Amino acid sequence: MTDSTATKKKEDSSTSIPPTTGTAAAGASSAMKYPPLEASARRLERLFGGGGSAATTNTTAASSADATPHHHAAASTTTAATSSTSTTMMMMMTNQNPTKILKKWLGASSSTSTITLSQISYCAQVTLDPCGVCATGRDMLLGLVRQQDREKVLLDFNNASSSTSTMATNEGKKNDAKKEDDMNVDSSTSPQPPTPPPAAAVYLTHACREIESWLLSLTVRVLWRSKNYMEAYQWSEKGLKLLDAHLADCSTTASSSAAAGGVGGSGVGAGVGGLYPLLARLLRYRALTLESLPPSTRSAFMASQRSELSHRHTTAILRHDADVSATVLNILLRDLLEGDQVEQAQKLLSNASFPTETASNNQLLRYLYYSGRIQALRLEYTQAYSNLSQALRKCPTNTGLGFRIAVQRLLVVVQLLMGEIPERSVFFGEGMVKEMKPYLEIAQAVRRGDLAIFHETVRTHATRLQLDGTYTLISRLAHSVVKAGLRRLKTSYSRISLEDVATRLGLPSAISAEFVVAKAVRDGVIDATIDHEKQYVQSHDLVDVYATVEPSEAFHRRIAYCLTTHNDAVRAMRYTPDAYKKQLEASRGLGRRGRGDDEDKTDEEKAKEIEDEFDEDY
Amino acid sequence: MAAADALLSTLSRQVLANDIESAKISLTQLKIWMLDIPTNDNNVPLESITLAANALELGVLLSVADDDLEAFARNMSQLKPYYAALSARGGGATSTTERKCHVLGLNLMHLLVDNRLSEFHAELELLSEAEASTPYVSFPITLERQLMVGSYDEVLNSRSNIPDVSYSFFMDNLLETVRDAIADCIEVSYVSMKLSDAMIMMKFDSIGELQEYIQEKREDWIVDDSGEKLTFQPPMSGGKAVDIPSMKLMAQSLSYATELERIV
Repeated sequence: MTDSTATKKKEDSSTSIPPTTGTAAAGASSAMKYPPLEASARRLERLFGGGGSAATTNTTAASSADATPHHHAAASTTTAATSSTSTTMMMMMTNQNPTKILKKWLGASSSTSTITLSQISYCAQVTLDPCGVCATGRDMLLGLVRQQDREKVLLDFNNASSSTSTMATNEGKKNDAKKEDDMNVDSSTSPQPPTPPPAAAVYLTHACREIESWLLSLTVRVLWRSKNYMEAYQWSEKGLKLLDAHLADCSTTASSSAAAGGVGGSGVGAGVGGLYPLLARLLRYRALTLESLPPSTRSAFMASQRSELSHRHTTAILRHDADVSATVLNILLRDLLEGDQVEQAQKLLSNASFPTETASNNQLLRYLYYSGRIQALRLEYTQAYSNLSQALRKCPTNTGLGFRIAVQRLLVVVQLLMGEIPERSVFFGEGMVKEMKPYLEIAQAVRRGDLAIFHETVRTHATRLQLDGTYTLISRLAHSVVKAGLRRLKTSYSRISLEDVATRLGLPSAISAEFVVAKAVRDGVIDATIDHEKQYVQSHDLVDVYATVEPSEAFHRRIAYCLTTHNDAVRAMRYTPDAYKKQLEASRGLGRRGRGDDEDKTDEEKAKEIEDEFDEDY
Repeated sequence: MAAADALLSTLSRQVLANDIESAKISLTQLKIWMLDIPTNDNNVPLESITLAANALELGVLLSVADDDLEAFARNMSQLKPYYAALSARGGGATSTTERKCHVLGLNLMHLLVDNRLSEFHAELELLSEAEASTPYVSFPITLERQLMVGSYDEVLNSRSNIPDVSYSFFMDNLLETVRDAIADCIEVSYVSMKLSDAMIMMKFDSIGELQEYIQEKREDWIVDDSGEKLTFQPPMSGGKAVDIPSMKLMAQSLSYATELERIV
């Protein structure tokens, strides 16, 4: 087997290490010493072709690692030996969810921070088959940079890796590999024959579509970071078109390839799901680049996009694709909110359901923020408050400071609108002090209850508030100012003349003060009576709160919340014993885990049994 | 196009002259012509859209003069897409019509009188800063603020400085609502009050009107024998057995018991 693989130059550097020792799929990638992009790409290929790392035992993992070189070599030819193993691989793969695999892989490989266009282009060159389904994408990516830059990437990488190599035995092989790689690069610069020569780079078959779209999305990101917004936008458009074409292909060929179980260039039937997270990513990038474009070009693009986005949303829901539907819904909501179309956004919100369980946390956060904002604009303050506080709780603590600031701002405004004064510590959160300063002043003005001062403060910060988009909400706060002021007066005075009320609250006259107090009494803000002849307000004595049903209501709310949390936790516990069994199987191969895990499992099972008994009694 | 232009000028003349019947006829003719113009097609010339917008605005003014709220609402909703099309075409003087702020202000008044506050605020969001400062629009905005705060006397005083005659229709409706609100407030916050004072507070013109109002809507206000004082019902004092929400408490306690039993 090593002889057959030795003929392929590229794989030499990897399979010169006997496969059996480097069987753990994760470990093999580090031993292979590819440039980082390519390493991730090959790992994905292995994941798709190898049936997933989590579900396989040791022996099948070894055989898949053995079989993959065969697999690559037999890209255009089929052999009896490999087809049987590949069908087993396919069967294993269909058991795993390709979306999940891709998401995990995406999470692991997205940490590549400093990527350049040449690296992307190089990776495309060596991993994508120029005659396969990804030819268009490959050509596009190759067109990014010149050939010399691509070669430079490889040389740079090999220089870097050889200088930092830890395994001494690899060093000698590395130099050989370098020479071979140089030759390899030369061979690939020659005009491509229709079929790839056996000496050329080994192309990916299973994961080629995914890698292509992933590389395209990386391109968009690099372009956006370097501020070529127009280019980035156009790339994202092209990427989306390509991806759509792939998806259309996949759905038509799915049934036929699954039946055939063939080797060459397929793996389509199970691989469709893997494209969805990448589709969601490309859509997100496109929306991002669109926002960075100057407004004139932007409006032209946006108008055409809404119908397209809603169409995508329906298809995504039909395919049960949580990622794309969540992303598209968020993009649509953002679009409508930017255009101040509150009513339409509200209709979208009420008609479309957000896949809360299966969508990623970031999308959920965005959704909560937008729905909170829409509800605040429509005067549904309590709901807005709960949505926004939930968003704040689920926020990641080490990143996304801008998002947290935005949510915190809106939360403060909603609290003020509900008539509560937010705590002082809220304004002094880490990194937020400067941003929240105008809001601190406004909150202080509201607390003082003086309308004149409030209007003054709002006027000074008007431009800042308009930039934040909260100006209209703040202008509704006049009512809250009055409420707060009246409450303070009521606690400090048992009897106060209407004239004084007018001066304290900044109202124009005593008559208007009279009306204001009367309205406040009706709304239940304060508990008082007005004496019209003598022109004063008399507040009633404090009623003993414990004599009313208020305490039991408050207790009931808290108890209900605790009980629901407990039930949710118990329900979540039910699933873990089953998934744990699979893990136990896999871990037996890698070595025994601690004894404690087994005991936990049995405890859980005991708990489950007892609960079942109790439920049966009822 | 020329025919439509002519129709538009006739319509405007008729509206100005308050000739309602014939204005309605011209309006229907214009609407039939407008059916041919889609609002989201970029190739339609700007003049047609402006023409259509103008025609519908005149229709709105007409329905106000006619006291027809349904027609008003209908015309407004027909007018909205044309405004959106105009603003999408680009900025500048051509993107708005002269009467836009007027019409938008009327719409806001309508929403305010109907007490549809969430839509009112949604409409406010759509306005730009410049539009919001015109007297047409700032009038309803200030009104809303005063209503929320509760300074009803300012509301009633502002009746004297409405920006346009067409607003008076809505102001009359508003007056009714405001009066009801004031009456509600009074009965809760005062123990008793002289009739004359009540009359001033609720901005009635004579005591007779006040008494009529009391008889129609406020039967629980007690008028003193001498006709001098109004007394209001004291609020119900608690403490009766009916007040304890027994069913609710029972349901709550039972639910606690079941949940607790389920805990291991």
